[in-house]
Amino acid sequence: MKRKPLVPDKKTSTHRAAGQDKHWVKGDKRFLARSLGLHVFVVAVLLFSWSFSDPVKQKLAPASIQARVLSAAELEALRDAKQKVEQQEQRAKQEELRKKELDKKRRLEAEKKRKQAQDQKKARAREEQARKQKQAEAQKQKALKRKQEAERIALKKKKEEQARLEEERKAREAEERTRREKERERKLAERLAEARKSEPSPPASSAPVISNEQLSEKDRFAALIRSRVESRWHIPPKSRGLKVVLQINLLPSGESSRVGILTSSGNQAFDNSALNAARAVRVFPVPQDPVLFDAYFRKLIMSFSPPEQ
Amino acid sequence: MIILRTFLLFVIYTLSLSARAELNIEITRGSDAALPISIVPFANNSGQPVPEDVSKVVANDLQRSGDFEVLPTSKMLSLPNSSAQIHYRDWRLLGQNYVLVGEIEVDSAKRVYKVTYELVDIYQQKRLIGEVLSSSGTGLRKLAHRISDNVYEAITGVEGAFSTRIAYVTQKRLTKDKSEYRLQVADADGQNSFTLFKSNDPILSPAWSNDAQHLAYVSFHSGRPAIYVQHIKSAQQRKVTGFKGINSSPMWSPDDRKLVMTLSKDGNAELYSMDLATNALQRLTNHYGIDTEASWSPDGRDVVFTSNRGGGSPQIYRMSLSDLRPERISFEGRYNARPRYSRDGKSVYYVHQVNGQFHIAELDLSSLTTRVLTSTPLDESPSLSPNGRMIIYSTKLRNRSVLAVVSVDGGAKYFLPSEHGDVKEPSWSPFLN
Repeated sequence: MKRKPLVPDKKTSTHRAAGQDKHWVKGDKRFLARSLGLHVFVVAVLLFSWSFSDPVKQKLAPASIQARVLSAAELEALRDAKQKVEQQEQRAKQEELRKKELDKKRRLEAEKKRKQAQDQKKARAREEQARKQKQAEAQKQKALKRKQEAERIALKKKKEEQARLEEERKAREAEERTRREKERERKLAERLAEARKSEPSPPASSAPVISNEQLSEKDRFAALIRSRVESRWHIPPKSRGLKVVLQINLLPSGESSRVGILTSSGNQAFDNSALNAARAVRVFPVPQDPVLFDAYFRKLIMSFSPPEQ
Repeated sequence: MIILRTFLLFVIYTLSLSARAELNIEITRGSDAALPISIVPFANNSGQPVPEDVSKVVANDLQRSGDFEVLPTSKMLSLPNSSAQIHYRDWRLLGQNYVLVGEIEVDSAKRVYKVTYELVDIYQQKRLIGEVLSSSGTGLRKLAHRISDNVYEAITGVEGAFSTRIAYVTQKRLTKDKSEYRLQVADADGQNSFTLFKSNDPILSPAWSNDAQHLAYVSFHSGRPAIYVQHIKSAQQRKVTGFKGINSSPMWSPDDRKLVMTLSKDGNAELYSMDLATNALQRLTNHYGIDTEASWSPDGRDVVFTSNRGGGSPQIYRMSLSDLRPERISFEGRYNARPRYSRDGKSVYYVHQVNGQFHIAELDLSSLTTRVLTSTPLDESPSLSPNGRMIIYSTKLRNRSVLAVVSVDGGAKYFLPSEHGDVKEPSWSPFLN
């Protein structure tokens, strides 16, 4: 149904103005119709203004505005309906927001759970790794202990073996020493006999002749003895200028059979220091050559005097 | 034929003489190591706790001397109490030259402890000394020092100095501008200290008389420096000098009749000798330079002192008291001061500057060569032990002045404990008996 426009255009209005007096007096019906038209216009303006706040409806609105006259009840109903729509829309929006929130929450929860699961998995993996490592370490330690124990036993055995070999070596050496000693004595006796045979003169002439080689050996052993005694001599304080001379009798084994003072320094502490140095040497280094030993080392003269500075 | 035979006989005889010549080995060097000794803990047969660990005091004394290396008890194979219980072979195996054993008994009625000890020479397998000493509980420490002295002398031939005393000055800061100074006397190991004189003004240069009965020192407590002599036992103090200007560095003559000192009463710091009986003064030096810190030679014939008379830097001079002609004896380094004669008069110990640091050094008077003994950077005031084996001096340790002891061969060194702040100006007493 095509409706009459609510607002007449300018031309129509001017035309009406010309015959207005005639129409107004024609009756109240026309006035009522105009009043209704005005109401409709106001409602239409209101509706128009409302339609601006709804871009969707504005889009759908026709280019030309159509109006319908509504009663107050309809208007109220319309308003209620509009409010309801608004409320519904608001509820829908809230619902949507709530859903979104819920979704977000669920997503977060799911994410959290996933992470927790992941962490737990990782922790379990770590624990497992640690357990394996510990196990491996324990096995390693056990292996090490076993190895050490084996080494210890091997070392013990080796030491026992060494001790046994040492014992044997010592026994052999002792045997050898005895043999050499006897041999030396035999040779000495032979030499003495030869010397006596060749020259039956005074006993002194029976002494063996010392070669140059033997003399250098003598010096070598003398130096060894000096070094060994010096390392054991604790020179007492304030002994500058003192001198003590000792006589040391040695056995062919190098052990001393007697240590005595030939010339005292006059200071007992100084004399004792020298005696102790000589006695602290358990075995003196002596040549194995019996001739050399008898000639120089059976009886040693040792003088002790501290350095000048 | 006869000539030939005679010749052959001569040759053989000569060779035999050379072959029979005794081998003479000369030993002229010794070990640098300290002498090994074991001090076995003394058995306590008293049936009650003994107030002093006698054997431990002896062990500490001997170890500190630097001449001995004491074996720790944990390394001993047995703990004998008498020479009869000693297994010589065990101690030889441990490389010990000497072993000290002993036991302690108590006479409850007399409240006296009886200490029996024996010193045994391990290599000669003989007892060197054996003695029984008695003491009250409080005297046990002294008794232990006496054992240390006897052991030291029996082995080294040099009298032990463990029973001697030391004097020194302590400075305790009370406020920013106020300090408390004390003249302290203690045992040689720093124990049993007591205060002889206390003042809020500086105390300097304490010096023992040779009879060990008096101390001479400088005090500022009367408002300016003055020299005092104080009797140790009675604490009686006597003012010896109080001249205007410097009154410093008192030192006793060997017979204790005179004091040599530095006075500036005539305008310049010069050495004077004062007769303590008459208070008569004799001027010993006369020079525009500063002459101070004199030390009397043991024979009383000369003094050594510090002087800058040679041109600015302090050096050491020796002057015969018969002709009063000083001769310079220090030539190494720019700073040489505070000389002290050795007990045998053959050398002088003094403060010597090397590379900007101050050390204690020995100057051999026959060769005039210097041997530095200490390594700490700010060493001063050397004083020799009466047996000539140790030197006490003051030095800096963690920004505090402390006392240190070094052996004359530079081998051993230790610090002494202090109860009262900074400790300076040490002086070692003569033998007390």
